[in-house]
Amino acid sequence: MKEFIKYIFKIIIIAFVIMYVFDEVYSYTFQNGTPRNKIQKILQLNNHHYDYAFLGSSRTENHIDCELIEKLTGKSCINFGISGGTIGDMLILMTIAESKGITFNEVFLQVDYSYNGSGISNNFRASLVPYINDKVVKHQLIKNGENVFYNYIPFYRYLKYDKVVGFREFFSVLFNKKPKTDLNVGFAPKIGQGLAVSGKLPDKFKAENEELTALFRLMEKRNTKLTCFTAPYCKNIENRAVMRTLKSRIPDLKDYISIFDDNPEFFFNCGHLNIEGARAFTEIITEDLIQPTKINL
Amino acid sequence: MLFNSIAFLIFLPITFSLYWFLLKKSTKGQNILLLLASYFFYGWWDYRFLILIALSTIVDYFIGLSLEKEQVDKKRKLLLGLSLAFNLGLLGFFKYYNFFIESWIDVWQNIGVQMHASTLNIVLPVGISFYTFQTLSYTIDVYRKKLKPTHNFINFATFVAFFPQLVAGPIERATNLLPQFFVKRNFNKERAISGIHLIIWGLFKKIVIADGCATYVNAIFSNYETLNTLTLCIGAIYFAFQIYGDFSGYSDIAIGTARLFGFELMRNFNLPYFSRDVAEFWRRWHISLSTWFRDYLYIPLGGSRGSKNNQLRNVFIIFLVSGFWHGANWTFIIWGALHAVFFIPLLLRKQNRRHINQVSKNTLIPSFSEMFKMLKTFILVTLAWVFFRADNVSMATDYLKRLVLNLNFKIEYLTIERYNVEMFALIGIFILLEWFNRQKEHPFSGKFKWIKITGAMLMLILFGVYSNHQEFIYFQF
Repeated sequence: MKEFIKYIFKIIIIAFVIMYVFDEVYSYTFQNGTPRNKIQKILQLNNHHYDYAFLGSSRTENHIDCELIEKLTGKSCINFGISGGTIGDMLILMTIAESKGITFNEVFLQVDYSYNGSGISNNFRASLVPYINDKVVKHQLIKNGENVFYNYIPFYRYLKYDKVVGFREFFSVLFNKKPKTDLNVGFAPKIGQGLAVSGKLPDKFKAENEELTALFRLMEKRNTKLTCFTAPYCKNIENRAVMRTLKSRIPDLKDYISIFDDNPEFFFNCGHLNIEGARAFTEIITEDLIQPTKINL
Repeated sequence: MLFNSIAFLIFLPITFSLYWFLLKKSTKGQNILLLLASYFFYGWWDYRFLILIALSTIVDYFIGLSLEKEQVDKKRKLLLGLSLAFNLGLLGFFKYYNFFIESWIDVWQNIGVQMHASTLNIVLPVGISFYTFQTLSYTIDVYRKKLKPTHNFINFATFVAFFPQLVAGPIERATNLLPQFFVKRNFNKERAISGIHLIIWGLFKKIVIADGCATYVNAIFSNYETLNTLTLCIGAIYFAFQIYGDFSGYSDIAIGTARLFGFELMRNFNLPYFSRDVAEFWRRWHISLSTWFRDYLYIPLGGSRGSKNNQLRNVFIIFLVSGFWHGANWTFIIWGALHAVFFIPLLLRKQNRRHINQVSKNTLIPSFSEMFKMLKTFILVTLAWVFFRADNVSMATDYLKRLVLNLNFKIEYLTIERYNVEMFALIGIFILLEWFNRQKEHPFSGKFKWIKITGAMLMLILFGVYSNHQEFIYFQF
């Protein structure tokens, strides 16, 4: 039995050494490699200033062409929209931005069904784990229910979230593989038309989104204006009337849900514009929310 | 509880320690511990279904005792019938009730008669097909007087619920497993180490090969209408390796775990993709099930004796039943029928026992003819797997139609943001490992044992799928 236990210990030690070595290698690579997502991007920025930042889910990432805004206004712009991103994700992103000394003149947050959500999305959580030694990141993960005990088991976090920060992503960072999205502007357009032309908004909205309240507070503290907007949906979206409730929750909400009711050619699917739609929407939002006061053509 | 879960990683050493340190001197104590551990293992998934295992155990235990006492043939048959009715009734209700109702309604609707479906929302208890077959084999063997019934209820209950093989086999025969509960087990270092090796090898097959392939298979089968011939071929090949890695990986972990407790389970897979014909494939694939059907169905039906017509009938019955055993869906029945069709030419030409030995036993690489035969068998088996994997028959036929007619061989980028061919490197490594270790149970032996173990650990850690891990496919059967 003694020999058997020794044998098992040998195997455990081999596993532990592999995990320890690769934990170090992965962490170093993710922290120092060329950024491949918006979290890596923001974590590597220091004392930077953007005039405008757009926050939200894929309905921001696919819709706001910051390059066009920069061209129209002459001001710097970044799209921090993340596919599947929640308001909780955006709150953390802005908290990290604050800790890194990144400042903004004005921030725009896309809100719709996301108002009903809470907490952070899985992909976002996974993208944060390589930076768990960062004080702010660690605090935010704990706050969002993550058991950071795994920080003490080498490589466990990379196994747990291997889909997002596993060996495929590790090699992509290591070999400087370009991300699909240009992270300097953050716009990731959809190409094509009308794959699905229906959708549904929630039946009701909850009374308060605490993360949104916290985000307003954070922006106020930093003297940054936060404007909420709803991006367009296709004409067939169900439960449109529910937007009245959302407007009562966020009185200053800019609602663009129906601006393309007569332009089905602008939609990739009911919740997402294609590149033509995105550019048209960007022009509208620039003129509407930015140009009147700040345009500098 | 899954073998590839943290819960099992905690459960196994605790059970092992209690078994060998605390109860070392008491075989009875060890058996009680195994019984409790097995019920805990199963109850972790859903404790409500423990009642079914307990009922199956009680019914077959007492029927076994009654069979021993009863000498009148008619009454013995009645007792056997009772066991069959109970076990197959359980299986029929939980696994096939909805299928029969829906098929019945479909038949009537096809001739214009409207009927209302009254199907139930029945949850299929994990492993029901495995433990009911195991208890059935006990009763049938007692009925045939091949086995003396046990008077020890604890040992019998532990035999039925033995956790390493409870939910997905190997389906053990009472003649092999039950006597092992009666003998004193002494810890054997070599056996335990071989168990650990099998567990590592099984985890590699499951976590690296099967779950790795599953990501691609799911993406390909759910978007097959938009994909080309090359991708659909790759999808079928990946599924062939997914199901093999998944099920044989489970079996290896089960056999390895049993060895840690001093038990020897039967080998369930023996390199099936190196088979030179379909008959050989069935001697190497899910051996515990195919031998079960051979002994309790095929041979009683007459087997390969009698007229050609009877032989053909028997082959069709055994393959159709084998397909149906896998699940209540026409896709499984067609999968079984296809294998019968592949097997029959061999039977008619009396070539079904041509390849008994291991391929290329004394050579390093196979001959051209052997390679061709293996490839041909693999293609046939893989074609049949499409039915096994598809949600329904029309999906399977559409898939195959598109595969044949599309004729576009461009490498495609899938919705999972990977190229369709990316998994081939790992599959290639896996095939080579299996080929060069085909005389052994697992690759971890010889001079470079520790290098091989380190390599396997490295691949498990780096290339394993953990965040999106798939349940073992055979749990649903």
